[in-house]
Amino acid sequence: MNNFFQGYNLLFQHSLFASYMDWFHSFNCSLLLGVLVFVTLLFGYLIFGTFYFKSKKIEYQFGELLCSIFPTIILLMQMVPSLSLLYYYGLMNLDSNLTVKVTGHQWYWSYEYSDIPGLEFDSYMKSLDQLSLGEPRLLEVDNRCVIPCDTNIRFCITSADVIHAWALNSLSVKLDAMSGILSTFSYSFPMVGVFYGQCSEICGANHSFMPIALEVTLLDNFKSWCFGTME
Amino acid sequence: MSRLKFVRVGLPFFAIVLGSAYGLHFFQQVRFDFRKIKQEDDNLELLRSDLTRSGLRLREGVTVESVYKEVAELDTDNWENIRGPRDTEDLTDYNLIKKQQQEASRKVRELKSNV
Repeated sequence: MNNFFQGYNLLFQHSLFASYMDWFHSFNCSLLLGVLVFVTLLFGYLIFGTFYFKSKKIEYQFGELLCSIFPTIILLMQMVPSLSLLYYYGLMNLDSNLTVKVTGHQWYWSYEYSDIPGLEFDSYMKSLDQLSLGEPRLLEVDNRCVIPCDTNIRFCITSADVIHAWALNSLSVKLDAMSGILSTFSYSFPMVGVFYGQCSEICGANHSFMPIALEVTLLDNFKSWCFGTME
Repeated sequence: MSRLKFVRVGLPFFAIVLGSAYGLHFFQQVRFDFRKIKQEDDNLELLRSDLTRSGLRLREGVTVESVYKEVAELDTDNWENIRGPRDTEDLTDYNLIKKQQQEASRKVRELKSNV
């Protein structure tokens, strides 16, 4: 889950797929930094060094070969993890899963557990006077979406009006919610915890005031939550 | 000469040792992948059976298509732009709209549960 670059850039990622994504991002940034440093040094040398044009550098085949090989190697280094991530994402889409339908409305999300009829609710942002001690302002909601850990969950995301986006940055998830279109993705959560996100598509002024709070919990707790909510 | 020997003998040797370990790791990986997927499937089965045993009626065969059918029925053409809530403003209007929304969705859910 953790990696060498942690603490320098993105949030701590709370799933295997998300941490691979994080690693890939850090890897690409390092590569970019390497290229940037190399080119800067070369330019510095060309500008300030005692370099003068040598006739033998005309038609310099070996130099041209290097200029083709090194970029190719860099692209290959990016391609391998990129493709493996793509295949990994494909493998996550399993057939057996618990389906959660997420609908974006103006200023709230509604969640519907398609496998459990009757288990559906709206999730509004808590206003300042509703907040309890320790709850984050602008992120806490009145009804969190609760899901069990280590179970394959399929989220079906859509919107009832304008375009919204269901995004959780500590899980590397961002899916646009569009009316009439169903975006789906499967995910399995290896860690318990509460994860916060905000609508990430400009759906109107103050669109970020429709936060997403996802509570990943143990299987037994999820069962008791189901009964509690149904009653 | 000794360098040439390393290229002829040493490099293939290391390539076989390291390469085969890398190749074998794919076969080994299947085991871990299967175990993980099986655990997830088992958890889901356990959840379903426990919920059913406790008296909840579960819907079978939920697919993306069946969810899409529900989505297609949503009336997405008629909506009004609603001004979002702001901490620093008077929220009377917004709270009124919120109450209406909650009332409307409660009615829809009641209708659904009666069907």
